[in-house]
Amino acid sequence: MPIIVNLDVVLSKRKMKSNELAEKIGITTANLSILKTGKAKAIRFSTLEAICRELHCQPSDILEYQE
Amino acid sequence: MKNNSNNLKVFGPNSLSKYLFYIFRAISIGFLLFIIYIDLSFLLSNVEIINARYYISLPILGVVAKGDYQTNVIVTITLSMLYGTIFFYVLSNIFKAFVSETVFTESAIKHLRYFSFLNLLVGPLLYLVTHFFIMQHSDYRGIHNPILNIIFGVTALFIVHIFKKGYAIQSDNDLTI
Repeated sequence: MPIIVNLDVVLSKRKMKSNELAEKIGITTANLSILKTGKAKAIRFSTLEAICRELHCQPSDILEYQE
Repeated sequence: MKNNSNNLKVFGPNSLSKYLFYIFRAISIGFLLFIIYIDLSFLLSNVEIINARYYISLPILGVVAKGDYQTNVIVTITLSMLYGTIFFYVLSNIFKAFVSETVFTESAIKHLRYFSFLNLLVGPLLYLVTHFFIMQHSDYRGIHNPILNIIFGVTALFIVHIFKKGYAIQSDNDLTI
């Protein structure tokens, strides 16, 4: 899929662990792992909003389109 | 329809599917025990024969199974009951798959496909073999049985495709974070 999830990059910039973020945004670490590894088929606006809120970033920092 | 927790669920644990699974599995076992008992009775000569007709008293039920004492009749009964055993076994497996928390599963699709195959091919083939070759009939008596089989089979085939679509949508939904 040409949509790349850069969540691990933003997480390392913020020095935050995956399980910490998962707890803060209210999803399981397994689901966050699916999202991080690019296996997710879709992302809810509510999830994206929670990630951006906790990581103080924009959706474009998380998601990237590559040809 | 308004969801009421007192209503009996159709799918999932403690649902109608669970009870139908038990009913159809019991019928399947009953058919199998009947074949075993009848065939063992013939093999062990535990059968009463009067005027070229056999009489086998069935234990517990207290009824007598009777028919023409001919090899082709016995083979036809055995094959038909064996088909009935497999039919109800496969049907029970479908409802067993519906007991799962998720409705659209690979298991449900697999058992529905078996049921479709059984009805579309095995049922009509059994009718042809038993009616025309074993019993040597030239009429079309009992033709409603293979017709019903084909109707069941085609319906099940459509349900298989509906379940395939449902499984794909459910998989996508499960991977929506």
